[in-house]
Amino acid sequence: MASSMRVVCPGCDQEFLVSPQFERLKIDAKCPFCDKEFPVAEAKKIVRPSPMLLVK
Amino acid sequence: MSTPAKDLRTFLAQVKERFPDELVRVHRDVDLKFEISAVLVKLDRAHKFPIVIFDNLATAAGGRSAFPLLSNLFASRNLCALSLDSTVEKVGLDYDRRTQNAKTPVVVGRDNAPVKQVVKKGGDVNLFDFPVPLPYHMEGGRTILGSVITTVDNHEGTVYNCAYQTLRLLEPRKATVGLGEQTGNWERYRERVAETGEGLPVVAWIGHHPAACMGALTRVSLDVDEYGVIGGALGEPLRVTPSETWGEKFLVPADAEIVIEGVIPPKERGRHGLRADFARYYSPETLRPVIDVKAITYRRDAIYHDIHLGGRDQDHLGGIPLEGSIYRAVRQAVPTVKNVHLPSSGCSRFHAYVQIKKTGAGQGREAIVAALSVDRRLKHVIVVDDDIDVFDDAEVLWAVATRSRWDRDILVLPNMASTTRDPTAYASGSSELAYHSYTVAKGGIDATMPAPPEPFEIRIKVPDEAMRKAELKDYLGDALAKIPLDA
Repeated sequence: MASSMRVVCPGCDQEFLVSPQFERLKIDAKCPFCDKEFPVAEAKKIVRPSPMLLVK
Repeated sequence: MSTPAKDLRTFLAQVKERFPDELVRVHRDVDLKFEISAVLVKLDRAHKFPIVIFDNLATAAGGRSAFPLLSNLFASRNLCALSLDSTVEKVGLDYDRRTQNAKTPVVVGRDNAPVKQVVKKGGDVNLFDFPVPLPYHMEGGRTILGSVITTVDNHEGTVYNCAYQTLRLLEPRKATVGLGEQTGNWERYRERVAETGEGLPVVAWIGHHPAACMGALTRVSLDVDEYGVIGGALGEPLRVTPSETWGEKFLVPADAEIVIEGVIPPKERGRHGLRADFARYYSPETLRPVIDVKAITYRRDAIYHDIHLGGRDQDHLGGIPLEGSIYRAVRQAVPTVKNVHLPSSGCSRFHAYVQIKKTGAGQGREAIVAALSVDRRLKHVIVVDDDIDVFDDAEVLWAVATRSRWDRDILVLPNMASTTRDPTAYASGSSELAYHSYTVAKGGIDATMPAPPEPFEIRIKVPDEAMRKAELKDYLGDALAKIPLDA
């Protein structure tokens, strides 16, 4: 998950991936399941990629 | 009568004649949404890799498709070898040899170009007429995977550059193209777009002889004409013909199944939606350059060629050309290198098995370093002796088990260039937008025996003569066929 964020769609509750580029440039994420477009900040849940994990 | 030029049709005819069981047609209705990939994944799991043609499909827009869809063109290593007049063992090496011998393309008129049998321009163009599948569960849109994106440099002569790049369909005449920011190709394209300010002419061709398709993936310097290299891979000059949009200033493959002509505007970016990638994970939605499509041309009975992403099909398409490049690089360091295989267990990108005939100490490590320098996606190199079959994962791992030690034979190189598509790679700092900022630790295992004259254990072996004489059917009869295959 080094280059992707996980978000949960506020429209259909499905989880999918978004590039951090979208959050940085304030571009709406688009849900591949229900086509809803929404600001990344409005996702039901956001999990951002961590810095490199030294322990896993 | 002269021999017809090599194309997808001549290859399918060759397969039908030589290996008829490796070409199958599906006549029943098949849904583009998930059903094609379900069939192909099940074939993969059954260890069966035929070329599959699906005849009855809906279009991406929902109507009946006028085009059959062909997939798994590269899934059989045996058929890849056939396309290059080679063998399963040497196909990567022969590919490399052929592509070193470029052949100047031959220009033919439109009347002699099958791809010009149907021409559509402007408002008649609809990319959704093609049967573009939806292969995996999280993909929210249609992506053309079998498209070779081609640009031409008319400033310094006529140099064509080709690469497989995905096209994500946005509108009937608009798609995004999967050119990553800061990749070598894109930087080059961007410079040209900036120079003209008018956009970059680009062509996507779909469906051709597999040698031509693999030839489009050759690693060459920027000043080398890849149409010539493709001719080398084919073993005969590539036939090209004037494009509809730019005429003789931009020639297109005359024997392709489909050609899409368009322009990449200088600054516009579009959504290149969430999609599957070669590593068998999803790639997040990103912004990518857009192509405004000006014209499409195709054969009257064109076959839409799709790539089975996540299967052997994509593995061999990218992996076989890379095997040849790695072999050439290792040969500079270890002249006695015998073979290179990029196994599907590493998506034919991440792992390389390098076979050498060892003549001196240190050659295993030399081979690891040389191989890793070839491609940023390559991460693990295992070097074995020439008694190990590099096409058999179990043999390679047996060599690791019995010929390597962790304290002596492991090489780790931290912070090497990688790609966003390696899930273990990380961007340096906050520059996650930059393709080239991703790094990962790489390395290799020297699983060779000590160099002669140092003695080592001797491997067990049944004498060749006894092996030759012992035919299982002579001992087991009909029972042989009934014994189930084990994992």
